[in-house]
Amino acid sequence: MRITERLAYDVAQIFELVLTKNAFNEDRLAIYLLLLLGRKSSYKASRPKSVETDCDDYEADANDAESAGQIVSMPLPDIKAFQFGNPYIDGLLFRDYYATNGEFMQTFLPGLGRVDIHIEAGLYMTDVLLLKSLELAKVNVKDGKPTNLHLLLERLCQLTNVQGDWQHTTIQRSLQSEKHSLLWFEKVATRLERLKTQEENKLINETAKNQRHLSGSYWLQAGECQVEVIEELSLLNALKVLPLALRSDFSKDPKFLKLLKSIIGSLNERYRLLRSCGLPPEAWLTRKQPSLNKLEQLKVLRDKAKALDAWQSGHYEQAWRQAFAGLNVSQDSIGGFEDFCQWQNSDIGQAMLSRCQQTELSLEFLLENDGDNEGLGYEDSSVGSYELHQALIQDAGDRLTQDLVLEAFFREVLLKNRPVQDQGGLFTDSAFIALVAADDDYAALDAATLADTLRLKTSSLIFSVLLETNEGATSPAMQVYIQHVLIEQKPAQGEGGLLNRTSFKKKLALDDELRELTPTLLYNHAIRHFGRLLGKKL
Amino acid sequence: MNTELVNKRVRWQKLWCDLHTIRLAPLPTETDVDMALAGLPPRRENEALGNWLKRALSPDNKGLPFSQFRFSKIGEVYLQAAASGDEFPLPEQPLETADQSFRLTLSEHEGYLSVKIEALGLAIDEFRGQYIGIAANNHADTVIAITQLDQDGESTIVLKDTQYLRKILCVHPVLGLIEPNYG
Repeated sequence: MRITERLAYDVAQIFELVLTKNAFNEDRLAIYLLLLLGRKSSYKASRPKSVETDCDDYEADANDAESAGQIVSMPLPDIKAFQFGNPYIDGLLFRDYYATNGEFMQTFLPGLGRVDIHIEAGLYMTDVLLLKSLELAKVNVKDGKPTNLHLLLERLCQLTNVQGDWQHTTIQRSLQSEKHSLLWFEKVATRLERLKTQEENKLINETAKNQRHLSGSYWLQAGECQVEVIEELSLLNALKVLPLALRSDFSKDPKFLKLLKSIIGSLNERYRLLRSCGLPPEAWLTRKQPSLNKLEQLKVLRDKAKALDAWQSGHYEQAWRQAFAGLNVSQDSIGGFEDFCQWQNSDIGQAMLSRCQQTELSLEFLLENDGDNEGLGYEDSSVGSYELHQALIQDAGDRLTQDLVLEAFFREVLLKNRPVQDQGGLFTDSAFIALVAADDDYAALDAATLADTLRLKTSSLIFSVLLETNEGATSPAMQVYIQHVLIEQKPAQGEGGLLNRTSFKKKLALDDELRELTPTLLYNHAIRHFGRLLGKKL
Repeated sequence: MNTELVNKRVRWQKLWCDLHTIRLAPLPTETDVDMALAGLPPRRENEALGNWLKRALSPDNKGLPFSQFRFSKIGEVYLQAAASGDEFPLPEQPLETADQSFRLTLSEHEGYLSVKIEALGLAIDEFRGQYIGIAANNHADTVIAITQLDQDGESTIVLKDTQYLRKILCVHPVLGLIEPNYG
């Protein structure tokens, strides 16, 4: 499942919490989304405290280091893949450079203790999700439809509990219409008229302007009532005008969910491309240029540059130059630039070049489902899901079947997309609770630690199975390094760090390829190797 | 590589992506939102959503929000007799503060504690819509929960059931008015 699809499901549930009340509370919605997107998980809170020491001479075996309980400190580049335990921090907001502790706002919330909220979540929530207007897509014009946000407004009106003829709500263009309202319609009509006044000076795109000239403005019609709707809506504006409260189970409505998924995908597009190009969204999100098409072209070019040896060895400018030189000569320009020099001298070229260093540490290649990769889609398609489950069980063998708790997590959460700790989630299932209770190791864990443990075990299992499919052998030292540093996110250096363990040093000494590498190069080597295993481009 | 091995590899590569889009933590709850709203500087009149959040999340606010709150005691309940040793059973009957201005009803359900706060009599008018905290004593740093009373002067807080919270709720819960100190 794509991260934006996951977000749509979660946002739908949050909408249900907010929109089934009689009045819309914008602040509450914002806080729900802020906590969802930006709250650092507390899983790691129970782990050993960070120790900022640099003991190059430290000698200990793995067992000693574990028992010392002093880990977490990595004087390498600040690599903290997946450390925040929130998929939106790890995989949506920050995939081109890692979030660091300095980017979190720390607040104390009574009963919850210290809560860290990533500052970027605020930007994403306002400038990407809530306030950005959705322009009219050409495909909607072709189908004679308004924007998907108009369609969402239409659908949510149909799903209200408020009295009136709402179930027949439509939004469509009309050349000759005037407002007509009855008592049950008046609140919504007033809100839409107020919105029109607020947004009247806002520029709209040419496609929408032409369509309005040809076919008139949008009108929301419900029964015999109707009122004009502005040309471009933001998600927040669509929610603000709704007849509340909505039905208690509206978030499960398939049409609503489909629209929300599509809308969030569209709203995220510019942010995604900026991230993929290594451009900081806070500086580039609200600019009209480069267009989405140009950003897409620059992303493709950057992918080409990243695959070159020059990039791998840190000669980024040379890599970009080669990537430009390798373009098809019949192509007029790429991203609006005719050659490397023109690009390099532009604002965007400067910004992209300056971020190459950070993108070397990108999560993009570990996570991103770009283009036509739709994820596994178990939920949407029953075709082959049983066979797939059987194949996975067969691949993993005893590693999965002998651990009933892990197997249940794997099957229900990973394959069936069942929630983990939410209402109706796996952790509230009596059969699962019984399985956990029957296992002393799992039974001793609280819910958050259990979830984190199962995630780590699943990561290890995936790594272990992928090793079996590896064409080029992964040396014992590399296997241990990837497991320890990339999967379990334990430190490579410092007291208790892997590089200071006698057992690992012995493995490393036997490895011709790795033994001379510095810690940073060893890390880079490991992440590239792991990237190849995961089938993602570096 | 043979086809079977390629298929196996692709299956597990896709699983990696899926694993890392799973949200392990529960969705934020109403109580979380109440607490966060109480912990952030309030939104000013006509302040745009984005501006409020930028202000609220600016590094200047780091570590400050709660420590700058005032917690003014408005009621307390003494219950030492109910607790024995390390066990803190919830009282079966609703509790009332010494001045009978608030009633607390405690219950437990599947690992959570539910605390219903009801203002009584004149306290309804005085505290409706206000943020109320529950603490171990008069100090803000012992507050375990905050909630906003509704127009009827009521609110229910759901908290993770821990020994620490039980100890406070079952021995000497103190209710206080929470007032942010932001200018």
